[in-house]
Amino acid sequence: MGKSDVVEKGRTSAYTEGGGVKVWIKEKLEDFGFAISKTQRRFALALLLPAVVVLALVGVFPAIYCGWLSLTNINLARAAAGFKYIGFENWENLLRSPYFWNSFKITLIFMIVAVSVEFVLGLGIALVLAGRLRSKFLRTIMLIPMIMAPVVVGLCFYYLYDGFFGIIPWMLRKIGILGGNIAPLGEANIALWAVVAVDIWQWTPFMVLILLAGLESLPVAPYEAAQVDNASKWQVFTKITLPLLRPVILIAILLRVIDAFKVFDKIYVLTAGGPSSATDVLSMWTYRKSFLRFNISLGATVSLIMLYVVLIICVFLSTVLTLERKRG
Amino acid sequence: MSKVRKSLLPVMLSVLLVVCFIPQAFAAEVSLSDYIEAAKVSHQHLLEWLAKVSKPYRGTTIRFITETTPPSDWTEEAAAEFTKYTGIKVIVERQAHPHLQEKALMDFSAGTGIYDVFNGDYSWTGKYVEAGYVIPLDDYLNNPNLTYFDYFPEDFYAGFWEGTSWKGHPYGLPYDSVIQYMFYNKADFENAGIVDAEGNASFPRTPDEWLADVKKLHNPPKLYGTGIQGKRHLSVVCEYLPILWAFKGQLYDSNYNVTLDSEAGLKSLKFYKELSKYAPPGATTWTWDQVCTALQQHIVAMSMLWDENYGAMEDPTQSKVVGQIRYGPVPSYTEKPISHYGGSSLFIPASSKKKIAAYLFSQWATSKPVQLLGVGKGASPTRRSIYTIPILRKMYPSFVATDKAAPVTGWRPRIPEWDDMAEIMARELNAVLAANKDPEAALKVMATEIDKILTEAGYKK
Repeated sequence: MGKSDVVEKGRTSAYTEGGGVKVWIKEKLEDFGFAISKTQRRFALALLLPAVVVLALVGVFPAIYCGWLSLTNINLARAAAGFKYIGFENWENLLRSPYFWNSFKITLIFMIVAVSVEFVLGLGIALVLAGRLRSKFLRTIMLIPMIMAPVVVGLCFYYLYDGFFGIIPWMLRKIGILGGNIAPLGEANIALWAVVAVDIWQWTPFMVLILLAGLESLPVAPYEAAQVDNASKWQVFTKITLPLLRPVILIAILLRVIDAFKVFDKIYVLTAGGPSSATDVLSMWTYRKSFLRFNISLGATVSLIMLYVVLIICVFLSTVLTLERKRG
Repeated sequence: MSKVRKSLLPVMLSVLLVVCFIPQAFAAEVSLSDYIEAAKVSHQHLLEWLAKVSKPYRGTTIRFITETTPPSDWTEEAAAEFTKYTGIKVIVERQAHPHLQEKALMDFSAGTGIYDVFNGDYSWTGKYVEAGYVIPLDDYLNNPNLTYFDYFPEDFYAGFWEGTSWKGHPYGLPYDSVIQYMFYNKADFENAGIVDAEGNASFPRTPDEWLADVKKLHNPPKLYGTGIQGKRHLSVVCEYLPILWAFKGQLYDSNYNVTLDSEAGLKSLKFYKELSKYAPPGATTWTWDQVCTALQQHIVAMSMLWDENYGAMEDPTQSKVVGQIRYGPVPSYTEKPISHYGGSSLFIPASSKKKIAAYLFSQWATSKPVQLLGVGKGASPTRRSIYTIPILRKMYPSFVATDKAAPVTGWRPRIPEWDDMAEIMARELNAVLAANKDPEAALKVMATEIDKILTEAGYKK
């Protein structure tokens, strides 16, 4: 029996058994070039099972449980009072809270500004270094900010930003940018930018490394053709480099967006959400509701909203990425 | 004759003792080493008694969760002796203030029984008792087989006992005396000419005098008038409350009607804002930790701070102001100055599986000899008899201040909803200090939100 016979037989039996999902899975497998027998398919599913179980336990179950928590009024500090199902009251309260929307806005600002600057800087540095940075040592050095624990980064910058003996305010005062009695983390209109700057310091090397790897793997032929056509550097960059690099850019941005949206550790150490509510991102809000007020249900509701937002962003960016691939 | 001699012998001996020792007692006060030696002997007796009663628990390991404070350092250091005699191993887990509650409450609510002794803030008493997370200690305290004859609970300041009791039952053993009052640098006061008729530093008695003195002392960047615990954190609430009381204000009245947005509230908050202008840059990101460092490093001339930091001021390895710091009550317009009580006690969680071993350890850690031996090494005693020792009062001027302040402390609410209220206050107070929010608007927001909490919890009639 040849390979094509197996495929044909499998398709017929699947149809006759009337299993819609099975047919769909089989067709998808065939689309990806996996034409396999029923036994092989069962074996493949058995191999997948442990991963599916683990994923269900650490991802799916907590998400469902979180959904249930959001429909109750559990407060660990008032366990004696018990808890009950309250429907969508938490959601309603949350969506009506000006503090929640303020946190949402701050989180979006943090994410957009940090990732944009990291991308622009990262691309610029990658373009400068492309083909020049051969030293593995230098590439390793670039990893240092990334491999530092965010809490350590937060603590270092807490002291660097200190209004009294921190070197950053001292330098800013020397060049006349900062007033005499101002500390970056203590001023409501500066604190968010000070925290964004720390994120940029830590994660720009990540952008550099990904984009540098992307640039160094681009095909040479289009560049040779552009040289023959006497294209300017700007034309080469906009018409060849950027379009070819687009999938890498999208992946880098996707990873950073997810990470920046759920930023917590640095803000917790640097400002704890203050001054006032200037750096009160959603993760900080969730932490405060869950672990300072022990309102687990409200904390779960905010977590779910964060999950949905990240999912929407991921779906959007991965759709763009897929379209790019198809176009490519 | 011999009979007469025999009956006279005790009289003669007594006369001899009086003749020999009374002049000595008047000639010189008892030295510190005498007290230390006496405490060592008492400690030895206590340990021997503990060794007997703890036999069934030999080999047990208990876990003590506490805040990262000087008294915890001392307990951890001294616990080796306790383990040596009782065979009960003690694991001390230290956490920063907010994390302490996170970890403990998670354990208690899940009933896992990880922790056996919990050093809890008195303001949490209501929350933990009402939730059934901690056990009453009456049965243990009244059991002579479990409580040392010389434990003497009456020695604790009455207010400390009251703070850790709920509905007439004691739930914790007072462990850490934490009273917030003023720390000020005597030399700076004298240099700035803030002195009395005899040329000694003169401490302000009213908020007006306080602000005036801060202005005189303010000489940036060399020296700042005051430190501020201005971070969006419990610290800013703890610092503001004594100022509110100083202006005769209260959070709410006896019927739970919020009075925070009264005239007294507004005056006090405006005063706090004004005071913050004389603090070092970035003080709006400070908690009590940074204020302690600023005093030690002579960055600020005075500040409000918890008394448990007295040892840090006198430690030459970390302090530039050894011998210079003096202590006083928070300047106030009230008849008696009100300092802020923030002490903590050792509670036994209901989920603990080693409650008796935990009680024996708690009793040892709060006993007089252990507290006395820890003076200057981190201990912040909760027993009045230690604060009245003359030599210690001379060595540590904060002892005089604590002894004066303890009977007239102001308390933050102990109702289970207090943490919710504190979070709102921290946000708004920090907004006034760091984001130029109008004090009146901030008080309105605080009052409205606190009123909502009290109404929903059913306190308001």
